[in-house]
Amino acid sequence: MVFTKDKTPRKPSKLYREWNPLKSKWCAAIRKGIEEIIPPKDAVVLYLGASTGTTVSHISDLTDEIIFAVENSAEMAIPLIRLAEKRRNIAPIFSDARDIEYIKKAMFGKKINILFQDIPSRDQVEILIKNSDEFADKNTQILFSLKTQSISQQNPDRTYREVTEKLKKHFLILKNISLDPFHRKHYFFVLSKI
Amino acid sequence: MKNDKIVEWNILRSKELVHEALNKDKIIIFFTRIAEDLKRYQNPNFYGRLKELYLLIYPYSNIQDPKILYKDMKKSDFDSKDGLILDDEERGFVKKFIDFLDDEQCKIKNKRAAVEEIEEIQAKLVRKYLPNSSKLVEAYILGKLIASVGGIDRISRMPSSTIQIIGAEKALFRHMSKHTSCPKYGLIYDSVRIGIKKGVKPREAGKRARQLANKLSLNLRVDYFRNFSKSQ
Ligand SMILES: C[S@@+](CC[C@H](N)C(=O)[O-])C[C@H]1O[C@@H](n2cnc3c(N)ncnc32)[C@H](O)[C@@H]1O
Repeated sequence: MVFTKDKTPRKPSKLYREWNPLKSKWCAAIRKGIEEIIPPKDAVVLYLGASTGTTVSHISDLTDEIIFAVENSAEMAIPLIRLAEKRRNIAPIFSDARDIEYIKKAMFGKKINILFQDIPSRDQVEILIKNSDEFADKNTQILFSLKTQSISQQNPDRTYREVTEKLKKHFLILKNISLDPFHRKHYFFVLSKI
Repeated sequence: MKNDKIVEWNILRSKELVHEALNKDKIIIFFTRIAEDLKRYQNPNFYGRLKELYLLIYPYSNIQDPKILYKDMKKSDFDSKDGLILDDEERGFVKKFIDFLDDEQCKIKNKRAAVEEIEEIQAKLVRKYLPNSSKLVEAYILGKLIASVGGIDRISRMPSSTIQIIGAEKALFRHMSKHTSCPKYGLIYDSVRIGIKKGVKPREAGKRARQLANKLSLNLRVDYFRNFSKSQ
């Protein structure tokens, strides 16, 4: 099991929170052995597809730097903003992840160390490329959670291969795994810019 | 710029943007659920619903205590700084709902009057925001359709074949996993236009439901773009 030290403990006796791999692709990837993606204390993170902030809250436990958490659904953004009000290091960005100009403005020129994306849309690869073009450099760790079903209903293996080919044109693929059994038909990539 | 300033800026800015993005379908869904609760249960406790309403209007509030929440709602003018914006008529509707609740247990004081009133409010809201779609099917059905998919934006993107079977998801799931026959009876089938209660044969009912779903999906899109879509 993976635990993070809670930055906002409710009781003095409960200092650690369990990070659930069934609810978090980032955690699932760690559980499947990719330990180099545990963020260090000084990591600045751009997180695309933050939802209500389940995973973001654990990243916020781990880093003392800032997390830019992008989410475009109002319903999800409200709990995310509430979370950001309780913690000090989450900047909630209510925006489409495709809107690079707005995200750039909201980041005030901060350089990131980690770019993470978990957006189950048809153009998820393009969104990743766009954002890494703008915000990542060779040293940025790029983490990409792929949901093949959102791209095509065809055989997941086939979509996976097609996506891999596309990614190779823009990135070095450092690691790629399936997130089974935690998340079926989901894959996880550790990338860096060429 | 310092991190805490960046965080602060984003919290404020995001609150403003969320405020503008919140759609009135939330209040339609809310009254649809109240009407359903009243139909389904003898004497439901509405504390949970009251809290839902409170968080629609004051999404960043931290009030937990039911008594305080009730008191707060009782004297509220429902003028929201960062939640769902209500016009005068809608504030009146909300106030009526709260006035129906007793302060001890959040139960309805006069159920018969409440049922009538809430159903009327629900229908008024549906007709106001979905003037085209509500000419095709009954307001309560339309409300249930939207509530069950979670919002007008979602339903307006659905093909009519999906709209036709909303509410029959369980049967659809059975169909896909156990290869039973494909479900025909979605929420739409309750409409008088289909005529099930008048003894219309299943085959004919299926045909009518398909036609109705077709028209409905077009009209939902029109209503959505006229009254809900912010990107115009
Ligand atoms: C699978 S959830 C992410 C769960 C989250 N990563 C976690 O582990 O807690 C995907 C989220 O991406 C959001 N999303 C979808 N399309 C988006 C877009 N174009 N821009 C920003 N967010 C988007 C959805 O609203 C949803 O909340």
